[in-house]
Amino acid sequence: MVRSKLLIPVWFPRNSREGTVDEFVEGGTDPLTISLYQMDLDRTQFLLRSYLRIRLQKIEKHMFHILKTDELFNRLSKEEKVFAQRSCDDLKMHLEDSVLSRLPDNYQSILKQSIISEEIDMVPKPQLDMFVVCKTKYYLGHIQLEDGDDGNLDDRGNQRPLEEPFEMEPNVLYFVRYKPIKKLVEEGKIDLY
Amino acid sequence: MYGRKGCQLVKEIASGEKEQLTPFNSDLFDQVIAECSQHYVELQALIRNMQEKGLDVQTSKNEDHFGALIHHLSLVRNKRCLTSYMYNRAEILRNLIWKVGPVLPQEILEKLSHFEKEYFKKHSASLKSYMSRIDLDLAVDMVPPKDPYIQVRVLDDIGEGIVLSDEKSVNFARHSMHLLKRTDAEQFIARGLMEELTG
Repeated sequence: MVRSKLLIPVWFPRNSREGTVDEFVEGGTDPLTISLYQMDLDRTQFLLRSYLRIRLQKIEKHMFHILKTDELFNRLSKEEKVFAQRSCDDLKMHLEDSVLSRLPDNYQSILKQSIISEEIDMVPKPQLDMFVVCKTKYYLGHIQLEDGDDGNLDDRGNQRPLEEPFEMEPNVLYFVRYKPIKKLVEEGKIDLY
Repeated sequence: MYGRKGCQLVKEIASGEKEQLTPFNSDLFDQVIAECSQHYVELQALIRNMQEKGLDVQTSKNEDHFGALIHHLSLVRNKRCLTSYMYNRAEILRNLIWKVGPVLPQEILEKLSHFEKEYFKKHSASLKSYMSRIDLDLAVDMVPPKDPYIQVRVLDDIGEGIVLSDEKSVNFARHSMHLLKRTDAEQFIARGLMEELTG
């Protein structure tokens, strides 16, 4: 989600603060003071640019997935939505021109492997089973580390002893799979490192 | 053997240096495409065969059915190989925009296919239009600033009369040294026209 409330004060007074730096230069203020202001301004602008840049790069990496998942798409800013849409169209056209249009009729979809695929099975998704380093500010008990959904389908899963519920102490670093704690991260209870 | 060429194509991406492009292998690429068409011809022949025998294509499980299935699966696998080859190369291209900027040097351009060049141009344009819409250039300021000014040496003749952000015009002759704003210098450093002097 774009933190626009945080961004606005950094973004919009850019011009006005730059104005003050220029005024200092003209007003003959001590060059050291000016350079400190300038550095502070540069640092803030770097943070702002990095933030927007990293978001764009994430969009670029999984554009098809983001575009077809409403929950993710709605986290984008208005400009990012336009960008994501346009990037998707471009990449789709690129893949169609280079590969898909040269394949037999029933195999030309960009989302499905062939016409008989029942669901979308050609879109790369982010890997959520990766391990992440994280920390919490509060005590969190009873975190289920197993995926509840698909555990029952597999017989071997039943034979394996169920793991004990996972607990997290405040300010201790943990190394866990991202998926089980995804919700807690989104709720702001767990911070990633 | 079915699918071997597609696998080679993917291996080229997987075993290549990370973030480095190999020349577009159009020869192998076309061979895999041709293999796909061949699979499709044989697939259809087998299905026609079943229809001629008066069998229900959906339910009967004779040798023709399984033959057709092999062709179908090989085709789908080749499709995955081909698209992931293009998809991963496209990803490297997009990362190049961030690292090198919208103008690629000749030695990289030579490695691209015609469509990849087109794609690169289009994607650069949509990044540019995003930046102009938010009124902020994201291509500068790539490393955290320590000092607003850096010392640089010019490596190539950039030309005279280049106007910097403070509206002064500078003559960047080869081998000359300048103290510039980091944001002004970065674009030249990214294109390999300047180097930062440290220490």
